[in-house]
Parts: sequence; structure tokens; C-alpha cells
Amino acid sequence: MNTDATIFVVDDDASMRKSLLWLLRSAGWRAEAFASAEDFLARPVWPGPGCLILDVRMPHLTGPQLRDQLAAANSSLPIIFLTGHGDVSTGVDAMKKGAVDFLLKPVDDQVLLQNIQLAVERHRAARAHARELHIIRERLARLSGREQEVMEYVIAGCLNKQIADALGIAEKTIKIHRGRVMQKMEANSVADLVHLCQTAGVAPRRAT
Amino acid sequence: MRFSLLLGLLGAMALGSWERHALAATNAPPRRVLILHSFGREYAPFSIMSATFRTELARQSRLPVQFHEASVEMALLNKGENEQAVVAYLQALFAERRLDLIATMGGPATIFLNRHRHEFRPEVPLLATMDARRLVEVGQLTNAVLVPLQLDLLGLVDDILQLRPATTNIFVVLGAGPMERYWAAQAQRDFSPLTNRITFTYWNDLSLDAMCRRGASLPPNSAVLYGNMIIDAAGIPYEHEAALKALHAECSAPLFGVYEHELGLGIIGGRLASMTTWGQRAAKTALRVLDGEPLARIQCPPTIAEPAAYDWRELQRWNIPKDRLPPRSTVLFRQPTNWEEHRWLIITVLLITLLETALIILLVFNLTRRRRAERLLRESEYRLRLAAEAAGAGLWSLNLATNVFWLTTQTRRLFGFPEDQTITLERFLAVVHPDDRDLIHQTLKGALESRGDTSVKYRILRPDATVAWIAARCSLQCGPSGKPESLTGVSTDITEQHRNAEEMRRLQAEAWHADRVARTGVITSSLAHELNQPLAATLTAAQAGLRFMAAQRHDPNDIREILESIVQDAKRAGSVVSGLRAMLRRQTSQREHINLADAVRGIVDLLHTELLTHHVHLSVQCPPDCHVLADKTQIQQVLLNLLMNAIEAVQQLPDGERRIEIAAARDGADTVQVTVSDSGPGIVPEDAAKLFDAFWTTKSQGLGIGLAICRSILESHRGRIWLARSQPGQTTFCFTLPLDPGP
Repeated sequence: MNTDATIFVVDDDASMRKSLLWLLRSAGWRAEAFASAEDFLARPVWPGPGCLILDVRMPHLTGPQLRDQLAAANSSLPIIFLTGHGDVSTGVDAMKKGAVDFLLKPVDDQVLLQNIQLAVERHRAARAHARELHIIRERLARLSGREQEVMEYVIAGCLNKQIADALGIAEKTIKIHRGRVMQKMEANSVADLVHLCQTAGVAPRRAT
Repeated sequence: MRFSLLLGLLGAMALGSWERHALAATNAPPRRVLILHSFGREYAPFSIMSATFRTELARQSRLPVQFHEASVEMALLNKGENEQAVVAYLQALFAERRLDLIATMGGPATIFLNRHRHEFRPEVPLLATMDARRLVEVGQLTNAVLVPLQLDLLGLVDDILQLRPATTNIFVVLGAGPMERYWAAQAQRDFSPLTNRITFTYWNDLSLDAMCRRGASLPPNSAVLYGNMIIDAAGIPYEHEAALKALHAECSAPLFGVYEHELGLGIIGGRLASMTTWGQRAAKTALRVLDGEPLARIQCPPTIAEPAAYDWRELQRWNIPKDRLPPRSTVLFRQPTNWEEHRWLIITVLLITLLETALIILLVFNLTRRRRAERLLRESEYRLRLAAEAAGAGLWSLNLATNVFWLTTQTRRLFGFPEDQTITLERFLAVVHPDDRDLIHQTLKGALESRGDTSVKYRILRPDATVAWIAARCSLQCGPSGKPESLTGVSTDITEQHRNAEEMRRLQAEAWHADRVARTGVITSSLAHELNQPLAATLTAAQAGLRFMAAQRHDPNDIREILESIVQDAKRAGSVVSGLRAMLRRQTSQREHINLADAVRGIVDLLHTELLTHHVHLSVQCPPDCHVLADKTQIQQVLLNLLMNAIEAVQQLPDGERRIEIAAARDGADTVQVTVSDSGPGIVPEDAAKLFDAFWTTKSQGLGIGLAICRSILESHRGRIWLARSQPGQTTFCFTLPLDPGP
């Protein structure tokens, strides 16, 4: 089930690294460990689903700094922060910036593994969503400006005549654009088109 | 008379024997010499003279000499009645004999022979010996040579007066014979000029016994002049010496004589006539005659008195001072004085006596000095005791032979010993605190072995069960042979000082501890993290292990690895806890042999998270073999203080520039120098001076005692600390510690 995912551990403490690797492997995860943020960044970007378990206090690049760099690089890899006492403020900050989880050391294995599981699943979902969006956006990119306009009226439920009035062009022309939109968007029905547009965040345009 | 005849016969017998002897000596015809004695061979003074004459003639003559001897003594007795008989006797005796020389000995023989010269061998040359002044009695000597003697009678009296100027009575001893009478007459004549000064008494008419009796009670300022004594008034003939000795024994006045040979027999001496010299002259003259020299050509000078000679014993006896003796006089028979006789003995005895005296003086001097020294010693001891008691110190001495202490009153008070109790070593040890008894034993042993001064601090239990601290200092006294005899020392009650010092130490430790606690408090969260890390790892590893086991598809190697990791992390947690505990512990200072690198590593480990949190890069360079004798916690406290200050100093810098360096290096053979540098902005010079003062700080928090404590800790370790460099980007603190050559 988890064979496609890899869990990454970044911790400057060798014992902690080793223990986490054992724990992850015992739970059937494939795992890799790094002694510093720099080491992790040196690794080629992991394309598959996974999760990053990150120690907050580290020499040089700290956990949060690594997180920021990854975010800047559009990484979708979910991060679970592991921290000792006294780093609560760091944790809150991490949560705000969208870390999946913030766990206090020492951490119970079940809690950790559950969080990892969740994170990986979420990553997987996010990755799927991103892939769909990517496809839609590719289709949207094929549309011309007029076709984009026409589509925005269509998903708002406007009739061809209404669209023609609004745009000041012939109804017949609208019809042709509508057909091209449906074709380019690979939508079988208006409902399908509405779903795609909703997914891609294309707002409907109402005729006045 | 009978006696004289007998002597004459003896002389005839002797003649025979002489002839035989001389003939036996040579074959040449001997010279025949008739010696005609006045009174026989043995009568002094002629005996000396005739004996010399005989001997010298025989010795000096080329040819053997045959002597015939006869005496005219018989002719002299009875007023010349026997003269013809003696002439006949001589004629009869020598009628058939050849004679080469006739020698008459003395005036009587010469006068007799000359009177009868024509009757008895007038053809034989005559050698006449007699006093020159008697020549007048003889008239002309025919076919003869005179060997004269010249007696100076007045000179004899002069000699007496020279020695005894106060002499007023002189008793002249002369026998009753014709010769003596002649001389008595001569003397009276000669002495007449002196009779107004000196009374001369002539004892010719006295027997020797009477003379001795008279002589025994002579008036003062008397002298006795012994002339000659051949026969006394009682008709008893005397040998010269016997009469002289008898008189010498009895006379109460000094005895003077005429002839040299009398010296030593009792006379004092003076210018005496030598019969030996006269005899020698006679022999010499006789030889000339025998050798055929014409008699007319032979002139013989008179034999006069010899230079003055004295008997030392008599001079002593009559207390005659030496300065009265005429110049160039000879003193004979000097009896060696005790000094002369026993000089070496006396010198030796004297030397020994002197030495003994010197020794006695030395001993007395020594004794005096010793008494003085003893008195001074007593005084000095008294003063010392006084001073010691004023200072609250007790003097004592342990006799090593008896193990008994001598103690001053103060010492007894100090230890709570009763005044009259004998304190043995055992009794002393009984009051020593049981924990310190071994120390005392070792100290005593050490003092005996090292033979130097020893000092020790120990506790005693007073009779009232209180504990007192005593500081004792002692030194070993050895006898002349180097054998230890006693241990002498001074003991002081230092309970109060000890209490004060203890209090000081306690307060100092308290301050140090407070500083450690405060410093550690600052890094509590870091420490919690430091502790959390291994705990978390342990938990995770343990849970992983459990999961592996639950899955029942585990590799036993994995489980072992996990367990090993767990053990390692648990230990790590333990060391964090003990490090923390050491910092927080309130402990007394204890010196141990520590590795500086370990101490540095310990504190770096403790600060690991703190450094991480503050994004400080720390580099450590510490040789692995620097050993010091120190309190590890205190040294780590110094490092902790310096590092915490450094961490704080670099906070103002951007993340990448926060650097701290610890470096340790040997500085010379016996010191290690540790430097703690940071890249902070540095300390302004005006602050640098006050840096190590207590309660001085530039920070809003903290007591400002950190560096002051560092300094006091290092000073207590015989080290020091200073600010070596302060500039933006580099602030360096240095401290040194003595190296421990270590076990």
C-alpha cells in the first residue's frame, strides 16, 4: 500500500535518525534519513508521494528554514515537525505555514505513524488534485480569449442568445465558440464543463 | 816507728818487683834511678808528686827505667839521731848497684841527702825537688839539678779573705813533724803582716782528735787552713786524706788547703799547688839528666800555684756567692742541682702540671661558661615560654627513648591534661580525634624519616567532648651520633581560625554554587532538550523493536542493533543528567587527576543545544593528553561562564558569523593555557579593567560575579585568568592551570 511512498527524516541527532528509520521500516515504510537540511536538499527531488519528518533545532539550516526553502521550490511534500519542549512558538508558526503536524519529542510510535499515514494520504490526494488541475489548465490554455469568455457565460447557465447579446456578436458565432470550448475542454456536457471550471477555479460570468 | 820501718821494708820489696818487671820489658840496660822519699811513698803531698814522676819518667824514657826507692823518714825522726844509720843503710843497699840518677822527693830527703852527699854516691847526679825557699837550708847543691816548688803562703790567706772577707780567725792545721814545724814557722813569718787583722792559731801541738774537737766549736768568722798532717802531736802518723776528712767532718768553719789534690776532699779551694805538675817537671828534668845533658845547663823554673779552683760543694756549704770567686777561676765537683740532674723529668712534670693547670682552668672556664649558657638558656627558655604562652602556643618535647612528653602548663591546658600527669605518647594519642590518629602516626613516622621540620593540623577531643583543631610544628633533635633523641615542637589551638576558614570556604563554595545554579538555569531549556533527545531516540528505538518483534519477520541483528542503540542513548541521557547534577551540586572542592579534554568535552556537550539554539558555531582544539590536578566541576564552571559570555556576545551578529573557539595548548613544561575566543564585538577598554571585579556587569541580568568567580577558582588552582585580546571580531580570554605530571 505504501510502496510508492518514501518517508524522509532530517535530524542532526544520529540516534534519533536511526531510531526513526527503524520505526518507519517496522511499519513498512520506505525511509531515508539525512543529518542536515543541506544533505536533504542535495538529494534529487522526490517525485512520488511521501512525507518529511523534520527536527526543529539543527545546526546551520533549521527545520523551519528548510520548510521555507521547500515551499519556495513548490514542494508539496508534507512535513511533520518533531520538536522538544520549549519550541512551541516554532510549532505554532509551522502549523500556520501549513505543516501537516507538529509533534513533541518523545513521540508515541502510533501517533507518529498515524500522522505519517495521514500525511502521505493527503499528499497522495493533493498530488492527484494537482494532476487534474494541471490537465484542466492545459485544456484552458488551449482556449482563445473569446472562447474563454463564452465558456465563463456557459458555466453561468446563460443561453446562446443571452451570450450573443452580452458580447454583441451573432448567436451563430456563439454556437461555434461553444462547440470549440466543449471540444477543447474535452467536456461531454455543460455539467462536466462546470465541474472542470470549478476545479480550476474559473469563475462563471453572468449576463446582465 | 815500727810502722815506718815496715814501710821501708815494703819499699825494698817493691824495688825488687820493679826491677824484674823492667827487665822483662827490654834487653837494653835499663836506667837505674833511686827515688829517695822524704816520708815514704805514700805520704802526701809527695806521694802524688813521686807517683807522677815515676810514671812520666818510665813513660817518656827511651830506655827502660829501673826504679829503686828508699825513704829517709827514719833519719828525720828522733831529731836526726838515726841519720848515720840511714846513710849506712843506703850505702849498704846500693853499694854494688849502678845508679844513673838519684831523685829526692821533697825538702827533707833533699836536705838529708845533700848533707850526706859525699857519703853516698856523690858521682851519681842528683835531681832535687823541694820548696825553693828551703834552698837556704841546703846551701850549695853539688852535682845536682833543682826542680823547685814555690808556695805562696800569703796568697793562701788572700784567697781566704777573697772568699770570706769577714774572716778574723784562721786556724792553721799542721802536723807535729819537722817538716810541718818548718812550715809553721814559715807561715808565722809570712802571715805576720796580717796579724793585726787576723788572729792565726797554729795547731801543731794538738792531736788530730783535739783539733777536731776544737774545730767543732770555732768562733764566728773563722777559717781553717789545712797545711799538712803527716804525724800529729800525739805521734800518730796520718795519711793525708784521712786527717783532712776527719777535720772536714768536724770543723764548724770553712776549710782551706794548699794542694790541688786536696780539692774534693773537703777544702774550699783557691790558688793551689799542683803536685802532678811538679812531678811532671821533675820527670822531664830527670830525662835530660839521664840523657847526659850537662847539669849546669839545666834550669828548671819553679812550680807555682795553679789558677784558682774551687769545690762547688764547699762553696755551697758555706754560702759563698759565686761573684766572690776571682775571675777565670774553676769550680769543680759541681753537684748537679735537682734541676740539672732531673731537668727532663722536671720539665716533663712541669709541663704536665702546666697542662693540667691549663686543663683545669679550661674546665673551670667551661664550667663557668656552661653555667652562664645554662642560665641564658633558662632565661631564653623562660622568655620563649612566656612568648609562646602569650601567643597561646604550647611547647612540648617528646623523648623518643621513653615516649614521654615534656609539656608546658600552656600545652597541658591546650590538651586538657591534668597538671601532674605523666603524658606518654599513648595518652596523647588517646585525646587525638579517632579519624586523625592515623595522620598523627604518619606525621611522626615522616618526622623521623625526613629529619626536617614537620607540620600537621589535626583534631583533638577535649575532656568536655568538644572538638578542637590543633596546628603543630615540630623538628627532630638528634644526638651527637645522629641518633634521633627527641621531637620538639609547638602546638597552637587553631579551632577559631579553622572555623573562620571553614566559613570562608563555605561562603565561597556557596557563591560558586549559586553562580553555577544561575548559569545552569539560563540553559535549562537547552538542557531539557539535550536530555529529551536521547530519551526520544530511546523510546522510538524501543517501539521500533517491539514492532519488529510483533511482525514476526524480524532480523535478530536488527533487534540487537536497536537494543545497543537504546543502551547508548540511555547512557547519554545519564551523562547529561550527571553533568547537570555536577553543576547544580553543592559539593566541597575535591582535587582529582583530570583530563582537560574530558572537562572541555563535558561542558561542550552540556552546551550543545544552547549553541544550536543560538546558532553559534563552536570549534574545539584540545590536546588529548593535558592532565591537571583540579576540581572538574569548578574548571567546567569556568568554561561554562566563559562560553555563556561568549554566546551572549555573539548574539548581536548575523547567524553565520557567530563563532566561538576553545583552544588548549601547553605553555612551557608545566602549564597549560586555555583560550576562549568569540567573534563578538569586544569589550571596551574602560570595562576591561573592571572585568574581574565582583558585582560588576554590563548586562541587564546576572549578578556580575561570573568572571570574579572564574578568577577565584583559578587562583585556588594556582592558575590565573586574563583578557588577552579585545577587538571587534575577536575577544579572547586566557586562563592557565599547572599541569599535573600525574599518575
